[in-house]
Amino acid sequence: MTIILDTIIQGSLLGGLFALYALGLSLIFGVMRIVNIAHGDFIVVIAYVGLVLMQTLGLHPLISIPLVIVMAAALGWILQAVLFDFVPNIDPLPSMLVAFGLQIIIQNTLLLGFGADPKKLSAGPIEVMSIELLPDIFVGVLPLIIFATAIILILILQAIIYRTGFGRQIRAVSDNEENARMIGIDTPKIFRKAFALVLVTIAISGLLMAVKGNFTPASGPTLLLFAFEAVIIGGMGSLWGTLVGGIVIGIAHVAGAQIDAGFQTLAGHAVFLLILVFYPSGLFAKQED
Amino acid sequence: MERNHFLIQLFFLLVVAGVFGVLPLFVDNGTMRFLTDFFLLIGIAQLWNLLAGFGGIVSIGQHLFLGAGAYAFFAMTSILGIHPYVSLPLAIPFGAALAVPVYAILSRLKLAYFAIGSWVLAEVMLLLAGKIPGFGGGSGVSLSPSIVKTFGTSIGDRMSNIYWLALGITVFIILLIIILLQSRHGLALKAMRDNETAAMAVGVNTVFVKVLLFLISGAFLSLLGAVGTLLRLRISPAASFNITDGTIFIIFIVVVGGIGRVIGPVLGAIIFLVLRETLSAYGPIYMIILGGLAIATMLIEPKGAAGLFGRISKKIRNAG
Repeated sequence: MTIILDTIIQGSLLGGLFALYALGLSLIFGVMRIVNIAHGDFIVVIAYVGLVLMQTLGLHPLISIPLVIVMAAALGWILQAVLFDFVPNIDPLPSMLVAFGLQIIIQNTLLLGFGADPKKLSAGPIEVMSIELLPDIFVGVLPLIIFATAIILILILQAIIYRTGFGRQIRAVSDNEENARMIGIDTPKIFRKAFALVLVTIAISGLLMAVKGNFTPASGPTLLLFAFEAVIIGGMGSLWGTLVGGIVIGIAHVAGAQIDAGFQTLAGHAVFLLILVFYPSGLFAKQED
Repeated sequence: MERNHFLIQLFFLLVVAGVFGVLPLFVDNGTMRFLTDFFLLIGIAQLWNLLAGFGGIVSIGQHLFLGAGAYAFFAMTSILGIHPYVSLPLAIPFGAALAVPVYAILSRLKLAYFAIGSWVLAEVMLLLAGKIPGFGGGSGVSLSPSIVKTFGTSIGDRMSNIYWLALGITVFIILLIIILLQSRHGLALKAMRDNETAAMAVGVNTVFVKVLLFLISGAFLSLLGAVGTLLRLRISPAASFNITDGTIFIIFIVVVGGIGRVIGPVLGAIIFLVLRETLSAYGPIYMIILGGLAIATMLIEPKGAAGLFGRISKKIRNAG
């Protein structure tokens, strides 16, 4: 009994990390219709940014979060302004292929600069701290922080999207770009801001990922697949859905690892495929359009 | 005009195939191996282009079929003891049969997410391939010498036979595609390529066409995967289900060569091999250049080299 409860709790906490990966992917598709194949690689870039900041300035990875957020937001704005603005977005193929090119460039630039060896950011004693949540069930402080971060980020994004003028414009553009432009919304500007916002979520998830485990220049695709599975399970367009999707994948991973270490990822994929077959539009789909 | 165009294509294809067909009599094994690679790349790229360029189906998981074909070939020859020359054609119905459940699952994903979904499926197949007993686990297993020797006892004989196989299959795939485009379905395909919603509105059964394309592509990728195994002489999850060789380079080839044109993958494969031969010693830099070229193509000439040639020849014609 304890082991089942433990699996669910540990898996849910791991799911917080997957939800963090998924938020950006969901946003970038929801608003800009970009299927960002390079999403996982963006997360890995942030991990290496954290590594460089730690090695050169001696910045603790969790302390460097605000600085990295600012840098990432600027990067997102620039990427949209100098690259994706010029990609025809009549159908999703061109932007997807541009992201595909970016992915190859990112992975190999990182390989050139840092080599293929796995890296990890050390956060110090916090990594091994744990508390007894329930009798005989210990949870790490770091996974708790990550999970809490996911919840806070979802609350903030909800507030931005549903309570602010910028959010209203984002929703208008996401519903229909043409109409949004007709009522006077500066769509290129919204796209740039939205891309910056996506990169903010990536900055947070990248640093936390780098503290939680190893990463290499080739880690991106795996992260993309986890993020994607969380988005689809949760139902496209639902922010809380991504958290549920992340938790489902997280529990599957932890349960799979109990059977055999080699089954961890496979169990996650298997659960995803099952849900796809039985609930094709996810557990919490936004109203069909 | 259309009819003439088709006959010109056909004539050109057969002449080129004939020229390449007699080459093994004159060139060494290394060159044959290089050209075999070239044919396989064109074949795989044609099938990706058939899906993405005409059917609007973007998959990043087509290496799934290559790997499955390789594993099926191994199972048929080494485990079931079926003659290799019988096993090869059997890879076609195997691939088509596999394409049915794959498409059934993936078609639940809305247009763009299909791509990432296909990647997940390919990943699942790769992980599973390392776990089925009898296939050598994660490190894979070699084809037995007796099976390899069916294709020729000397290396030279074997290379020429595999060369002709790869050439024949690729020519057949191209032939199939140009006949398909020439047929009634071809009109539907061209309509879909230009505007899917409009095609649906004028009565094209887009679902049927998409399923048909997916089956054709799965069937022949499986066959190409089996032929690729003859070249590699072994199966392994990492090599047989290789996303870099089976999908990433292929997307590059189609995009840079010209998506939605039959000549595109051929031009793309030539460009790719020229780059590989001159730059691959530089490792990551070579890959960065490939990525940059793919992006530049999307920004400057989304129709790739084929589109560029088209533009230039039109200019020359207008000037003259």
